Amino acid sequence: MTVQIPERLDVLLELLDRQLADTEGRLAGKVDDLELTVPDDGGPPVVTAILSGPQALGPRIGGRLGQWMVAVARRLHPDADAQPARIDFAQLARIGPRVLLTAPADTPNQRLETWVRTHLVGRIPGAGHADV
Amino acid sequence: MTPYKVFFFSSGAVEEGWTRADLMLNRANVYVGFPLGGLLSLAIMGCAAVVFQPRGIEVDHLSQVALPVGVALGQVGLALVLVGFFAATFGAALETSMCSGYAIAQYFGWQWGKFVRPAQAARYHAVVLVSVLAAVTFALTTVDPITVTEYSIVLSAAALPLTYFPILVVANDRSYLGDKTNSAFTNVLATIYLLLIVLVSIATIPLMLATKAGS
Repeated sequence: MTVQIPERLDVLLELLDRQLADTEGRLAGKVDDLELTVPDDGGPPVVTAILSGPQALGPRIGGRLGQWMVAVARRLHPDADAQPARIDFAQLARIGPRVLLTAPADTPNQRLETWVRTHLVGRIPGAGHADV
Repeated sequence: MTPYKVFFFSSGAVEEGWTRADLMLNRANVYVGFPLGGLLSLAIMGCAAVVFQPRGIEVDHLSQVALPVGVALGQVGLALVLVGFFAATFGAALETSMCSGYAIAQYFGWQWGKFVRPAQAARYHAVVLVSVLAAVTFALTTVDPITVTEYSIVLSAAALPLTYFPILVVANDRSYLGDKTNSAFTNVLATIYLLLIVLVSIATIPLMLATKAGS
């Protein structure tokens, strides 16, 4: 499979805040932040991973709202030191209006979704019916 | 172009998988549907004025809109108006609550929409449900619905450039639109319109405060 990942791109314009989707078309959060690594031989840092979830978005927003976002996420998470979901650049299939992953999204940030499904929406009659 | 409409239409386009072929239908919607809607609104205002103004009655309830139709067309007209009221209010409640779901789910990148089972877009559906409940609760506080409408229209007008400008940018982006980007002529018109709505958006809140929302 040819991976259409450009060597250079304007990450602010063409990567940050884009929608993540897996191979099955399921939506899997946003590109909330990026992991930059300085190569061993020095030189400019390169993007090595996408970070997703409130633990990544909160610090990027900053200020009181950002702190609040991180605090809520921490409170809801069983592991108080939870890190944002990390998606290695090698797992990306394509960068476009949607950022496509090569593997089924292994549920980054799906804990709230699962909780709402189990406790609220999944209990409503017809919740399992497809529209089409 | 009000923010919630933008979310509604763009999300609908994604859900229904619009293609180039749907451009025609949407142009027809704009050129036929919008003027028709405007004409009907004018007709409602005109009929209400004809019936109420000579009698010195001020219209401040939705229910009063039914009277001119009843006067003109009798029971059948009244039945039609009631069906229309139901369709309009039920449709608007669905539309606006779904828009809350679209806006919040798409901001955070959650699964949304009707192309998956509701249980697979649980957070989106939860937001829709909570919006309906919150709106009902708000309405039950006996707040005057006309005041709410006036303020929400003013706030929408103030927010217009926030949705209009990004759409203008996307309308010129080949990675989204391929060869269907705006022509130079459309961009000139669109830029003039942008200036107009920026003026409206700057003026609208001071005007609302100065005139106490027209009262």
